[in-house]
Amino acid sequence: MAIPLKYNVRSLLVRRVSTAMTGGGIALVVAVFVIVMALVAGLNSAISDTGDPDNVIVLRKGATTETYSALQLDQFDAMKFLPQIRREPGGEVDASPELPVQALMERTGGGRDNIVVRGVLPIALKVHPKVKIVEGRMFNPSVNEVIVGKGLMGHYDNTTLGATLRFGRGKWKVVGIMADGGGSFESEVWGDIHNVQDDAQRGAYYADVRLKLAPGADADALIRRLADDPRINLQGETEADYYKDQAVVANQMRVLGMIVAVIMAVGAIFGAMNTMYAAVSSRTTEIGTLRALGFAPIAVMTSFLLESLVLAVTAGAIGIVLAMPINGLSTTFGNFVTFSTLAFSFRVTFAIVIEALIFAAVMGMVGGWLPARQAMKMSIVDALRSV
Amino acid sequence: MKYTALVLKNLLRSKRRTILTVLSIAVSLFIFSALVSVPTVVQQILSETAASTRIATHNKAGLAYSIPIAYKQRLQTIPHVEVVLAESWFGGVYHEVSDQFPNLAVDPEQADLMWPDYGISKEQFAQFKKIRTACLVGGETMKRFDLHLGQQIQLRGTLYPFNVTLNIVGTFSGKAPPNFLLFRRDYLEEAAGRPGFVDLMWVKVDKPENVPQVIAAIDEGFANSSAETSSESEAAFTGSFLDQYRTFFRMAELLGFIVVLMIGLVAANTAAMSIRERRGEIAVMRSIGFPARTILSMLLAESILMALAGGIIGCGSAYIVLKVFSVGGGAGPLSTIRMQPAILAETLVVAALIGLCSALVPARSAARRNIVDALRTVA
Amino acid sequence: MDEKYAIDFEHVTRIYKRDEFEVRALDDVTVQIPVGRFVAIMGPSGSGKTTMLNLIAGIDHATSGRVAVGAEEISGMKERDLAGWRARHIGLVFQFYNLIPVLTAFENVELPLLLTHLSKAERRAHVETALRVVGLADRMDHYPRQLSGGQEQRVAIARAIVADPTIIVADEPTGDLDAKSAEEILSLLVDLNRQFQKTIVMVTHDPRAERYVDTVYRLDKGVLAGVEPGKRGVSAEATAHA
Repeated sequence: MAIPLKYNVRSLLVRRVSTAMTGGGIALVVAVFVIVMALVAGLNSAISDTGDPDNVIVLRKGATTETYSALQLDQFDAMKFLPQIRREPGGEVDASPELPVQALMERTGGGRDNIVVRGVLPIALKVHPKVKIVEGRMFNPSVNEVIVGKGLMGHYDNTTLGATLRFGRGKWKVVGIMADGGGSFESEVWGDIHNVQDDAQRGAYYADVRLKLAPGADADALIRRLADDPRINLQGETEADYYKDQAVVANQMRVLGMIVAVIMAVGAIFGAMNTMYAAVSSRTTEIGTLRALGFAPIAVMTSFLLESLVLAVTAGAIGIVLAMPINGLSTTFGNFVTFSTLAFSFRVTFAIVIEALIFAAVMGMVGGWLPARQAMKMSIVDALRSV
Repeated sequence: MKYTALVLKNLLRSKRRTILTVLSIAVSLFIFSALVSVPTVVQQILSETAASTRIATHNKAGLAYSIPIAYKQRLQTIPHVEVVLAESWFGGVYHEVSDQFPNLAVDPEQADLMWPDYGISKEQFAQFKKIRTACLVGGETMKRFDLHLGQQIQLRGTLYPFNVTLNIVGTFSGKAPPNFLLFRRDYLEEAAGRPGFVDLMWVKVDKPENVPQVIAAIDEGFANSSAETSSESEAAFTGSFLDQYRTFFRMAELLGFIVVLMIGLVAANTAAMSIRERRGEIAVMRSIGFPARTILSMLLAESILMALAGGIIGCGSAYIVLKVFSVGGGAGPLSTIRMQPAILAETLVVAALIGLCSALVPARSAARRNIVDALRTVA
Repeated sequence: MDEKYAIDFEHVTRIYKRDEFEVRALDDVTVQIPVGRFVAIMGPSGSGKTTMLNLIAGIDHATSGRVAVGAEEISGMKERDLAGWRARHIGLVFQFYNLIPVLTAFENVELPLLLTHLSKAERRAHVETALRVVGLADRMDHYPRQLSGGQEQRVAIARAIVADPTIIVADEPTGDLDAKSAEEILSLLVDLNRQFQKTIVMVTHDPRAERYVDTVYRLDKGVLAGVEPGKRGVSAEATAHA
């Protein structure tokens, strides 16, 4: 009992210019949506993908980030032998003391940014198994050697294998490149913890410790022990929770981005409404004829709604294609939570594409609703009279 | 102008279309003006510090590295230097972890000479210099946590393994960063038990012209030492903090541009539609004797008027919204984005241009069209 | 209701409100039109003939009185049901053809069949038959703008008969056509009436039409002014002298 869709599609094509301009407006809004969401997804993934589900991060009580935390050697020694921590087959305990320091590094193209230089011991690679050395090798301890996260390459000087990187108070040889599956460690430089301590003149302090849970171990029990033991007296949380809190930046951007996209959509919807009203009024005779032939009022309304929908979703698809080139574009972002620069890539995920299409469809429905209703409510006699 | 009535009448003829168009433009320009305001905040902050005679000197390796306190005496000997103050970041937490605001420790002596533009009264400075646990709090933070003078507050240490208990003796205003808290570095030093290192030295120079010279002198003086320095004017120093948001700014500019494109399309579509519908009428008017130029101006005036109406509504709303809600990102200096009057003007110009350009092509062809052809569509 | 009446009006009045003015388009009209006839409703402009046609076709509602078409009383039907009723019982022909410009001749004729449960193949068969009856089988894939006025009207007639309606309702079908095309259309309508026993009600002010119809109903100022037999079969010269 429906008016054939080809009627709507051909009607859209007949008023080519108007369709193109309205469609163009919608396409732009959808493109903006995709770009912003891709930024958020990229940021989020870089920040939260870093967390290892089996790890617990230990900070000074009250600290929110590693940046503003400090703990002492004896506290580390006290926690090393807790039963919930995993051990390597050789007996080594999977506890990684770390000291991230923000050091200025030269950007290619001028200027300097704060990059996290993380002082670690070789055990860090076992505690963060996602971190893999993709080129070269791990640094040798007590020498000024470093491995560089691959997210930094191309954005900062002297970050390629074999280069001499200058930061802090000295020169460091890049002996390896590391990847972390897109996580934030890819925006870092790792070096021997003692060298980093010396360079930053921090004395014998660590900022935090990462502990890997033994299989089946109870994270809460470990965390309670860390807090209650007077020799330790530190704050622990799972890395998943820790990085979730860090993602506040990404969440803020998502909210802002959604607001911008929604407001733009409202603008596009008004434009679409205008176009559909014009379409309805220029096709009054057709509408009258269809009604007279026996198509139910609801069929007419549905037909115009579908027309609006087809226009919007097609435009949405075009908008997605327009925004696609941004997928994988890597850039840097100053994360004020960690006071350092995060390298990330825009990610256009499948979910984003679906959301964008739905967004476009909603724009089409809302913009086409009132005009479609008007088409339905016309009196046949008046519609036929208006030649 | 007798044509104004005609123009207005035409606009009111299809009230629905006019309203929809104006609203569409208004909404889009709302976003546009808000987005364009974002980068200008940077300009504004930088311009406020442009005339400052203060220099920030820190370790060349970065703010996370410290410099020896001994540098203070050497800095004081450099010509044109009036005051030298050391500063260290404390980073304490007040109440909840989410209630962060910047808190730092500074040398109390000569603080009034270093920051005469911070709006701190003589008496309050005197208190700051007298009482060891004194602190000065920025107006915004005072308001946010409902603090008052004389109140005692505690900041829990994160970087440092102890808490500090402070007494609020004054507040600042004027050119000071509105959310900072400053307390005394000698109190911090004693509690830290780690004497000898600070994060940053503030150096005040006698005249702005001498700033570059002093910067050079400082950095050359400490070159090749164990803690090389990097000095920059206060403006550049503040600017470097904002620089980390540059991706954010570029996005805002890009979005602003896209929004303008979108409005252009919508406006052009509406203009073309409405002019096409009135082809016959326009022909009749021309056959009566209206010159093509007059018709063109009237059609353009209609379009520009609608666009300007949209611009005023959109930009005005954005101005109000930004003022009412302090939009922006958390602890960063972007915590308040406000709209400059220049943005209002820029938005209106953009609106007028959109109104003009969108109607130009259809209006010209309608005004110039062969009268006979056009009249045929009336009959 | 008598089944041999195709159309049954009982004291039908239709009043329109135009701003503050009331227009009595039809004033207490009572008339029965028998089944299987080809009739014309004629009268000067404003006589109410189009209103009467609209009421017969079910696209307008009487203000008062009873309207029965094809033995069904439609005066009280809701719009939703009327739509379905129209699809099954009425075939419409308009003065300006009212073909959908973006659909081909075939697709235009197919439209009423989309409201039935016929399969695609069955629909195709009916459309081809209808177009053959009106003599336009070779123009199936043409768009209305590619057809002459007379051809467009024939497509419209094909559309009107394709669903095998009870009654064909035509509003000034020859109004926009030249003499030759007009005669062709009228002949076609006669054929439909004779061969397929279709009841055809035609509103017209074309004097030629009188020679084709069985009965002429004259309306004047909303009132039935007279009923005469048509001059069907009488030659053109004879009517000219009448």
